[in-house]
Amino acid sequence: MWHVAGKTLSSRLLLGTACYPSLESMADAVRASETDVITLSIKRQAPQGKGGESFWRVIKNLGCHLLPNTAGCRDARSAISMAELTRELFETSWIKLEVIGDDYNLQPDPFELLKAAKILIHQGFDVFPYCTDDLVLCQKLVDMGCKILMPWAAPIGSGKGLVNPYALETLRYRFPDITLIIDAGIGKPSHAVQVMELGFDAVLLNTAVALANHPVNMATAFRHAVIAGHEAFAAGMMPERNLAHPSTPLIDTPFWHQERPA
Amino acid sequence: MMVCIYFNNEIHHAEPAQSLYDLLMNKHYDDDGFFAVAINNQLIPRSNYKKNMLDNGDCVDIIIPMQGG
Repeated sequence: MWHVAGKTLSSRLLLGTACYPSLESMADAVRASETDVITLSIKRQAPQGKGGESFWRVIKNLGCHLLPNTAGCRDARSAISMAELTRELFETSWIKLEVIGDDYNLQPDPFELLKAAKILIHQGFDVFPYCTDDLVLCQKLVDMGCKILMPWAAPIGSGKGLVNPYALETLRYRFPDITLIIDAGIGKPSHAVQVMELGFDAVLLNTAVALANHPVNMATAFRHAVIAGHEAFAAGMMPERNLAHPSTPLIDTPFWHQERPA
Repeated sequence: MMVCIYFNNEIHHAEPAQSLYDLLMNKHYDDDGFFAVAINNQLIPRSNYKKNMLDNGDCVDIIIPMQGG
């Protein structure tokens, strides 16, 4: 069990709800992952009809905590407006704060992110800021009151895994008391294992499951991966060594390896 | 004189001095429906629907949940 933003969770895997082949596939993947938290977003309803009802019906039945995002926002003002709308709609103070600065790699705009985070914290939101692995940016987010950081491993949807493990390791070392959740860029379960072995608190991913050939099976794989990485970190892994050390003791090895006494 | 507003990005002519609540009822958005409302990109809390009067040129958006990562 672990604690984040006032909740106690059993799973350290957070899962997105986008890009699945169908709503049914999404729901099955969420159940297979055994996640406690799913991310979602909001939109303006199309003029033609009352869309969104079927999605909401499925989401309600999953029984997960909701982490709404501010996807699509390019500046602090729109991110703040969007956060206020999600709080009204979903009755949660949790917000995954995304303020994007580049259309190609969807990198966060650090300056607008800081502006938005400051105001939203003041308004009582539990801010989950999607940020880069930049130490100075993360320090500034912490200084203004963020209890959670969500640095990327790689650009959203790229599946590249940990592009800069040194930077992530540094964040874990420098912020021992901050909840660290890797968000974005995870492609394979082995990436999730790596993240958790670094001592991160959780992993948030979406595309790696949604675009897998079998999303439900992949959700299961990630469930195991996050558990494995976390258990490994908690168990204390052996140090890496440059020289070989035999695991089988050499004392009393079979007689043909020993020198005969003179 | 009718008030011209945008409702979910479509032009709509509303009665003068019409409240947001009245507009929503006319459009069959029930009190217990699952949506939020923004006017000119600002959240209007549910408790203010009856108090909020529509102005000419207002952009009223019905906000609903959608998939997200």
